[in-house]
Amino acid sequence: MTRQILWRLVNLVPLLFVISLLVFFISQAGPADPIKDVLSQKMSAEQIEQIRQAYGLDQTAWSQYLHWLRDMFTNGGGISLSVRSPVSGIVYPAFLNTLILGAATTVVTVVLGVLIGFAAGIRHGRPADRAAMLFVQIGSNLPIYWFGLIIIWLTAVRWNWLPAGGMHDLRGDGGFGDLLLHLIAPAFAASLVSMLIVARFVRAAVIESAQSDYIRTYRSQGFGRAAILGKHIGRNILPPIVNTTGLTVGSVITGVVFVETIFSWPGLGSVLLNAIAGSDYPVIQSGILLVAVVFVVVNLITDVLLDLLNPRLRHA
Amino acid sequence: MTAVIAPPRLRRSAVARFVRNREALLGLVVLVVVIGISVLAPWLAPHDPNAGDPESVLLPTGSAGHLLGTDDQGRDVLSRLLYGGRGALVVATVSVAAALVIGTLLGLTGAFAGRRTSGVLMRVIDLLFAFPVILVALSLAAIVQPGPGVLIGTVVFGAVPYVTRIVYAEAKIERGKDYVEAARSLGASEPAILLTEVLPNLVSSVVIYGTSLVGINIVFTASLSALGLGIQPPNPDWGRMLAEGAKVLVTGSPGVATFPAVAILLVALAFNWLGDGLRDVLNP
Repeated sequence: MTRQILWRLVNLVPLLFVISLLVFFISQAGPADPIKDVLSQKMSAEQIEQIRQAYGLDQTAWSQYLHWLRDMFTNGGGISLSVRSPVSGIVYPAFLNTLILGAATTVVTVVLGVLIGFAAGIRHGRPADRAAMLFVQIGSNLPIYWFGLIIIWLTAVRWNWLPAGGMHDLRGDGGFGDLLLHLIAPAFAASLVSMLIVARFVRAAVIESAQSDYIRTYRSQGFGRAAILGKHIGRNILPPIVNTTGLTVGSVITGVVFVETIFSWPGLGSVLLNAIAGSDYPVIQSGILLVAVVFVVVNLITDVLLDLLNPRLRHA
Repeated sequence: MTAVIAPPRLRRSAVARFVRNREALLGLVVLVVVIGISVLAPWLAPHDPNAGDPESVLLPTGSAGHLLGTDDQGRDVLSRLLYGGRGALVVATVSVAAALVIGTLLGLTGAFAGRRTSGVLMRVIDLLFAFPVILVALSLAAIVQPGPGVLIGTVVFGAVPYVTRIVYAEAKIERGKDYVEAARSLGASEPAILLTEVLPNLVSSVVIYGTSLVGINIVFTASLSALGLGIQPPNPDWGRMLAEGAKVLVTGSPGVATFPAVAILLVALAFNWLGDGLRDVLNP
């Protein structure tokens, strides 16, 4: 077991290396001169050369990469080209906000996905199941951007239940309750795709599990419906739930980026979109690298959880 | 005699199966209509989709001369809607086609290559399965400028792992079948077996899967365009219209963003239905 986990950790090293190379490649493959915005017409060739040296652009790509990697570890990715302040001050707070929204989205994904999938699965073929499946089909074909708009319109304008956007009430105390209130609508909107993926998988797992021989045996022995559902089917669909939730990390992250702009959530998605508009490569690279690392780490956690849930491995 | 008649009857029954499947037929009809509208948009549209009119801003649905109203620049929503599917349809179809080719080649390689190559390849594919494709879109937008290229690259990257998995699974089953062994014993080379023997047996699954992929990706690329990463203004585009209508959706003009959203939903569902119908016909 421990060996298995250690092996997975070791496997991360080449993966992170490849990802960092790809992210570094963004500025190399981009427009010929990443510092063109810093330069001005009036500068002499000598001055330009000085600036190029200051940014390390006169060195080989490989040493630039090492330099960049060191920057990422030591000061969070250097200086922003457009704001001229440290990247870490721009990217880290936004990243934290995105993590908060991402975590809330994951919670909504799992809770609603499992509920819908379970409710549909145990009523396989009946009207409730068909209604749920129709909801799944329509939901997974709705543009998330419009879905977010409708959520705002309903919850904030029509019913006036929730704030229309942002993270905190400007006049509020900025406390946890206030944050939660601001989280509900964007987390629900961002979970649209991932929630329905989980619901579909859980439904399939419940149906399969309910039809298996040993469940039929329990039933014939007179065990109650509730006991069978809770204890046996519930335990059987736990690994697929963990597995699918892991598989939806990508959809969760994508959903969060889509939703941030709509709900004016001060997260990394908005920061990255602005940075792209301004060709601010240090910010783009640092932001993308952070999210990619989160993806890798979540993948690792999912794998380890699945190992722990697998009885054949647990005793190994 | 029977042998001569059999093939057409078989074909007729396939068509009959398709027609009997109401969802599939509906999907096909919707797609034919939408593609027809997109092609004929210049003749169908009542107004220039890009011509704004400051005199008639945010007219409600049902206004005279502007059946679906106008947006905040006074542009005719109906005209923009008729033009708006062009980019999305082309981008989604082209990129899914590319993903199908790449994914099929990778899947066949995975199924027929040696254990080590196959292992590494499928491990990478597994990892890319859950990859946040939005990162690809953002990276591409940083490298080349935001535009249709970003959409195509992102869709290809996102779809290839899925296609590869499906082809890999099916090709592995085919590999164990007698006809592959027979071809091999007759001296056929591995590439020849793959391309002339195995591939034809996989085409229907790939096409079926590709059909539903197009639908999903029309939805996905619309949101990317709404964020400003895809098709650029002032081009009339369903995704762009979502963003353009976002500002006025809450202020009493829900149509500007909602009509394109419904169009996207309808086209995506149509591709899904068509895919399901094709599965019933080709892989009964």
